[in-house]
Amino acid sequence: MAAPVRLVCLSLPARQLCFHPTAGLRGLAVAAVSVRKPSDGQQHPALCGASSPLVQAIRHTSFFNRLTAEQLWKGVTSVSNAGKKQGRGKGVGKKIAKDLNRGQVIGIGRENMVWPGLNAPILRGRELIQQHQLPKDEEREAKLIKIRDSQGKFRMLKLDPLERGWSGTKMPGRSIGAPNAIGEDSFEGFDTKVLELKVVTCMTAVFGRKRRMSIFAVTGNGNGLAGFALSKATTVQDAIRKVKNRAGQKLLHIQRYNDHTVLHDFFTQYGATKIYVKKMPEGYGLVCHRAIRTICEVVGIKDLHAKVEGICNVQNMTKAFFLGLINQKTHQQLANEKKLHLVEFRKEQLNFPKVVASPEDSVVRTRAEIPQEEELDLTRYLMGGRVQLQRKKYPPPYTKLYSYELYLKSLAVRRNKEKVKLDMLVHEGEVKSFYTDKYPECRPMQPKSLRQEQHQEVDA
Amino acid sequence: MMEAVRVAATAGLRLAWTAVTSPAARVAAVPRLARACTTIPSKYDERDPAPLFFDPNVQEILKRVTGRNYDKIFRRRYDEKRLSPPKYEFLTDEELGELREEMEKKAETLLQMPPVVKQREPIMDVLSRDPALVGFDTCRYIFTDITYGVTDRKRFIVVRDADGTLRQASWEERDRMNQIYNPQPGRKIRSHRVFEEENLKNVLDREEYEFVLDLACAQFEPDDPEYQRVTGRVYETLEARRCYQILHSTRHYGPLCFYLTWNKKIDNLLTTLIQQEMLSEGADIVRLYYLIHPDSKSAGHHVDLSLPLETIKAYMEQDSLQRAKLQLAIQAYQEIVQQRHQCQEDVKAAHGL
Repeated sequence: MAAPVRLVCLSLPARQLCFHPTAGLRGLAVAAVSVRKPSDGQQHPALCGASSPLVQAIRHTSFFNRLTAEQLWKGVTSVSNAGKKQGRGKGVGKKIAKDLNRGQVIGIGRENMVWPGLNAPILRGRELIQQHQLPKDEEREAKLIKIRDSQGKFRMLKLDPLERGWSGTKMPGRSIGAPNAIGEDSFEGFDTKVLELKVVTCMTAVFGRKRRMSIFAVTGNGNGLAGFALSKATTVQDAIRKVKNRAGQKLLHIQRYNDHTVLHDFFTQYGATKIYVKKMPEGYGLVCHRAIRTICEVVGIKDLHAKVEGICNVQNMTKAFFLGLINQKTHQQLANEKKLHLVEFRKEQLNFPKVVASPEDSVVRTRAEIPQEEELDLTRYLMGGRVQLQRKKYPPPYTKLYSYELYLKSLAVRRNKEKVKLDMLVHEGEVKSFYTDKYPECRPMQPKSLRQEQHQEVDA
Repeated sequence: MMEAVRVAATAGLRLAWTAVTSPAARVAAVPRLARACTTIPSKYDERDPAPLFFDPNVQEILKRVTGRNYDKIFRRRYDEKRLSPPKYEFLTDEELGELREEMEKKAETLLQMPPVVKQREPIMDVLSRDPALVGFDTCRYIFTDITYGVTDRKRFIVVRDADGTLRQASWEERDRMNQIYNPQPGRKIRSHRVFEEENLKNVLDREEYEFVLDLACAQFEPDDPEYQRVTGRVYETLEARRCYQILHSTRHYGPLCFYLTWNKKIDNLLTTLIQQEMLSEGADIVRLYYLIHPDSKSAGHHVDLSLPLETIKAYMEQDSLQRAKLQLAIQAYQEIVQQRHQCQEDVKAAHGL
């Protein structure tokens, strides 16, 4: 390594010499000689541009070419631990490492050289190609700068609306795929959904604050098999992999009624979370907490009403719900327990009594054998005597206003017009008045689509 | 001779087929006729069917033949009403029996048959002619008596024409006025376009027989010629396609059987019933035939109630119009019964019983 030389005065040509790669050690020697001349200490600006150019001695190796690109960027972009505590380095001001290799090809640089073997063939026909320089590409710098400018922008991940979870780009509610296959057992038809994604920390002696991702997810095949699990890992990806595989290990079989709802109304609780679950007919949908809705989707329940009372803790809610589902009683079990026929009445079938289950040993109790205190109402029997609080439903406040009466009167005038319009379309083919046949201009305004159709017909 | 050989050969093949398939499969496999209805539906316009239809014996037969498939009678109707969750109850044997009896009565009301009556005569009654009133107005006036408590049939509806004639309103005018002043649910002032020939053909191709019949019942009176045309058309289509069982356990099965028996078209029905091994119903149809046509050849014969096959055979020999087919069906049935019996004997022997 050459000894550093102190700088006294720097002329323009000297500055150019400094940064010129072909300066070399010879230049340094010349510089050393030329610089020691004016030792009287006076600044002589006239010296610059005088006999021999001043050369700035430079290093050819420094931190700049000793460190890797990653290390260099880390030095520029990183935030201290104290800074992180105060929330520095997040959001808009965050410096992002850029990949400077993008837009460049090996063999092509600032000097547009033709290197046979690298960026050009060695032989073109019979001719041997020589190393030569092509005219400089002026736009290359501009192009690279443009690429690097567009690199730094933080673009929001584009999520398909169907892939979205419960809220925005957050993980809860989003699917993370089926558990990984174990040997021959592949989890076909299974889907896992995240219910909770939390960052949890604990203090350790060695590292201090240890940060981990905790995921609570539920998996199911939409056909009665489901399981839930909680897993923690340092990164989100690891945690996702762990949780879905663990959930796949803890599957439960859940019985459903006609593959669309629970067998009967029930009540469950776990911790301070209580759930009242009601069986619903086809087409009702899942009217419940979003966590319970997600669980029902993976289990294969399509119609349900559930009211969560007490604390809405997602993990406790899930445990309570699963407890309730696996403790359901089948119709046959109920009939055997009670030693009576279990009969179903459906309003849409004119309340025809359909015997759903009879006691297996065909021993049915008579009226006299049933004690008076016995609970014969099925819902009360299953709820264990619990009754759900039914809150009184009040009419909306605008019903008390006079303007509401006027609104109802105006509705009454219009209430049959839709049916009249349909009837007219069926019999006449178009909506018209008594004058339309005689005076063609007396035709009511048609909707835009119909007018366009008519125009097309006229044109064609 | 050749015909007999051909009949025997076909009988052999038919036997093999009938031994393998179930009754339901056999009926389903019968090929549907491409031209569904080339016959013009006949109307009840000459002889009045009402006294016969309302005869207790006839009613009893028709009710018995209709069947009581409670799953079908109490099936869910798609009437755009919101579903409510099912209710469950624990019941003892007695309570269940009581409920079942109630349901039977309810089923009776649901299976009440629409009446079969003669077509109505057009009203030509003129009350007075006043040529002095000519030119009093350009339109005619219809006066309807809307007194409360008067039925639609007995209501006075008169028309003053533009030429001064005061007459009783025609049946169409009567229906329209009654629907305006005393609307019946499910009835429209302008009749549905489904009953036009083209649209009717469309709906029948889609096999929505019960839908059309229910709509006709709601829209028309039983003596309306339109009602009789529409129902006749549906019955003819069913007869051509041999799918009578679609109307089984509904209120339209009785009038269907009555229509076919009235027009002496019960052979296909009997064949279908024999193939489905519903012999008692077949015998009931034959008895109905004798009640409606007492002047038929085999009517005078003693009818043994406990042998339905004999009844059908007696009918077949004397009055049947498609004897060969019916004979074939009876033969096939007898052979199946024999085979089955034989099979059971063999099984018993194998088990050493």
